[in-house]
Amino acid sequence: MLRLLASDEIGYVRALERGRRRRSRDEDDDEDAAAAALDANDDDEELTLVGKYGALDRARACVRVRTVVRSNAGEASASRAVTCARRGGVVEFMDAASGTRARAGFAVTLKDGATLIDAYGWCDSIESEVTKAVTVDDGGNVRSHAWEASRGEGGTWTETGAFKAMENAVSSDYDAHLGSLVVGGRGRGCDVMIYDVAHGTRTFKAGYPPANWLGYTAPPWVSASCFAATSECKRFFVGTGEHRFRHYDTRASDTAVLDLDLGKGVITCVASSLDGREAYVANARGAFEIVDLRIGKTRGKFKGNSGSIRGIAVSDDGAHVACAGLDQYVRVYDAKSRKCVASAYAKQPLTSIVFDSYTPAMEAKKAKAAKKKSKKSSSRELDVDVGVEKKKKKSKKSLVDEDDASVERRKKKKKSSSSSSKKLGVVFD
Amino acid sequence: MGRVAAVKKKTKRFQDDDDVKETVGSLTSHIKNKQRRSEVYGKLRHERAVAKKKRREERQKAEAAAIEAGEEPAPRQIPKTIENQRVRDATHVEEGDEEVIEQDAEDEFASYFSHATEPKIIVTTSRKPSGAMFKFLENLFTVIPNAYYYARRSYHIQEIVKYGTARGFTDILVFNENKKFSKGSKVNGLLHCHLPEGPTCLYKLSSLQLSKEIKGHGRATSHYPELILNNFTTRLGHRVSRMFASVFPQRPEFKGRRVVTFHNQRDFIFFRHHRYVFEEKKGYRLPHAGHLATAEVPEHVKESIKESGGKKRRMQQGHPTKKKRKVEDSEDESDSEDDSEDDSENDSENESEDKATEAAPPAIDTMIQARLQELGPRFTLRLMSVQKGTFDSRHGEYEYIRSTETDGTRKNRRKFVL
Repeated sequence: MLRLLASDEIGYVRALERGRRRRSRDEDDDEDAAAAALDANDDDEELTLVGKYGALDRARACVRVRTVVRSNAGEASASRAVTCARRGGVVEFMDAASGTRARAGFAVTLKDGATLIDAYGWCDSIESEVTKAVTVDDGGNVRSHAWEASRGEGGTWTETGAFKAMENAVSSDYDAHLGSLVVGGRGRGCDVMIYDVAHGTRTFKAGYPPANWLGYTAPPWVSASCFAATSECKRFFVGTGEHRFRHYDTRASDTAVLDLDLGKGVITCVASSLDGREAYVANARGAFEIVDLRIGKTRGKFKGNSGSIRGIAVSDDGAHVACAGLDQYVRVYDAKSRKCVASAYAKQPLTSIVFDSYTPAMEAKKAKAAKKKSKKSSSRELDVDVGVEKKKKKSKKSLVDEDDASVERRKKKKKSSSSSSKKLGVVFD
Repeated sequence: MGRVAAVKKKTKRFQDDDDVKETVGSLTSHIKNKQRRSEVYGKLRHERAVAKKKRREERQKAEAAAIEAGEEPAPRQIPKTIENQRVRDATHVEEGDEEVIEQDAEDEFASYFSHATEPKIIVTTSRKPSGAMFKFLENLFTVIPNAYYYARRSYHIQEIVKYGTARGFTDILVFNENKKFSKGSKVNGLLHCHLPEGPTCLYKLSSLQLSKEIKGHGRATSHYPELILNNFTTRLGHRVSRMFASVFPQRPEFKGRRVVTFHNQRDFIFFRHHRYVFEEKKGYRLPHAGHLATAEVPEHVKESIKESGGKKRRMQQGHPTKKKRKVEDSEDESDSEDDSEDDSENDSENESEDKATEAAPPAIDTMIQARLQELGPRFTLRLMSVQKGTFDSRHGEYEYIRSTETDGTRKNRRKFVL
């Protein structure tokens, strides 16, 4: 079952769904069968618009929708809430299922004419709703907010910290676990940087890209950026306004390890595949391509978009990639075969899209596991660079990116497999 | 069994099934011997032609018999046309679609339709325009009221946008011209940039004919024209048609009887400029004119009337409200000032509905017809791209870019974008 939330230009957040099956009676008795059935192929159903949340208000249109992440030292659970960053500085937390408020939102006071470019919400415990947030505005100001529950049901958001990352910011990405923010803007001095939000310190600054054959270097314009999944914020992707895609590895160097020229338009979004080895890049002309980082070239295209693509979302299992843009369509593609598996007309130009991390199968699994009371912990194999040795790590945190709120659970034995860290993973040039 | 018989047997299975089209070629293609194959092919073709003729004769006889008997004849078959076979786009705009109404209330053109702003147009050219371009522009200025010519010199479009906005202009029309030494210069493109931040549309312009070249052309007056926007059915088409409408003032002067038409058919937008006049035509009796004159028009036929039909038929249907008037009042055109604005899209739908739902065609001897005289230039536009924001070829963001992949026209020749 696929469920997506897409925000449009006039203020709504639209929910689109495919394949909502009703449980049959024998499935009620057998959880396994139900889970299996729900996981089954539901390709024959259409992607349909099922809900329209919010109000008609162009001035308050959603600029970005992000899933709220819940994490607690090793476990991550995708919550069903989404953070909506709206123009005018309002941040809302919406329940993905119903469009109602999951938690009260807050407003950021911005200068005249400034607008939020992104907001991220998360919380430190598995069970509760959003308790922390980070907002970035186009003046380059990064603010952290925290929710303080007061007696009874209510609570307030307070600003716990703020700093100015750069003169102006155009795009950003935040990793809630490690507290790292990658942010980039347009103009001199605004090339991409990584900040540690809790302390407000800069941990990485991009070096000058090499001049082209004319001896010219375009001024920085980071129109899209995101962390590569599985890289613990050490690697990230950048798309520029001069249609260049860059892959940075902070361990290797401060200039890009891969710098590709892609197409003709401004690159509007960039997303990471689940394994962090591919990047999905989309531009303002509707071109939507896959860059394979290992071969350093594009692997293929997702065809069919006729307008600027404003948002890319990667599903939790990495199998599907969705895009939404100004041509008013939501298209879902199979990541491996690049075929469009579903598309829906969403009636308004769209600005952002996110997969709703809910799947009935997941819920069923969760329920089952909770019944059995087995200890869950997640493990992940780190990609090892040539010449860089990794220390042994026991229970590794699952890395969750805001873009692809992926949750992988593997049952782990008590002793960590120490050999895993010595395996050579992907080698990046 | 002989070959022909075998093939015939195969055919018979499918004869009753309208959907499966077994062409004669596909039935005979398994015969390797060319001579034999062409014999069988010839025979089958002949048989089919005979059968078709027979069916046609039977149909005609039945119709004649029914008319004789005074009964209703069976409704005529409707030929398939590219327009009525069109695959309906998902973005097709229905009447009263909330989303569209919401968007319309707030988009860049809302202020024109609510009469809050008046259009003021800059018309300019590509660099170093030729005489042919000037001749075309002379024609164009008779069409668009409140248009100003500015020489392009070597200004960038972005500069023109800036200066235009500063001086209160609302649209920029840049006509492009290509020059070939051997063939001379040819006007072939239009960039329509709406100010201050509006969308920018790029069109290919073709089939240009100046007034002089049109036989029997007339001279335009300075009355504000009526606008007819035909057949813009999808969301994109709706947006583009609103953009055209915002170039003309929203207060048509019906007294001038001048009409500008943007007619979309198969993604080609035909621009026409006419003067019309309503006339009584005496001694006119409608014969049994096929599906248009049957008393009871079936649903699917109504649909095809709406969706099919050339521009001439639409235009000659005239002003929609006038159709309902009696013969005696036809001369009185001053009543038209009470009418609702024609500048909204798709009044063709109203017109054809009126015609189709009339109880019976007037058996009387007079009928009101609109006669047209073509004025100004005539050309065809093809939408290439719609860019959000003003013109920016390098960093622009596109709402629509025409490409063979996305239009579906390469894969499906019955899909259109506007």
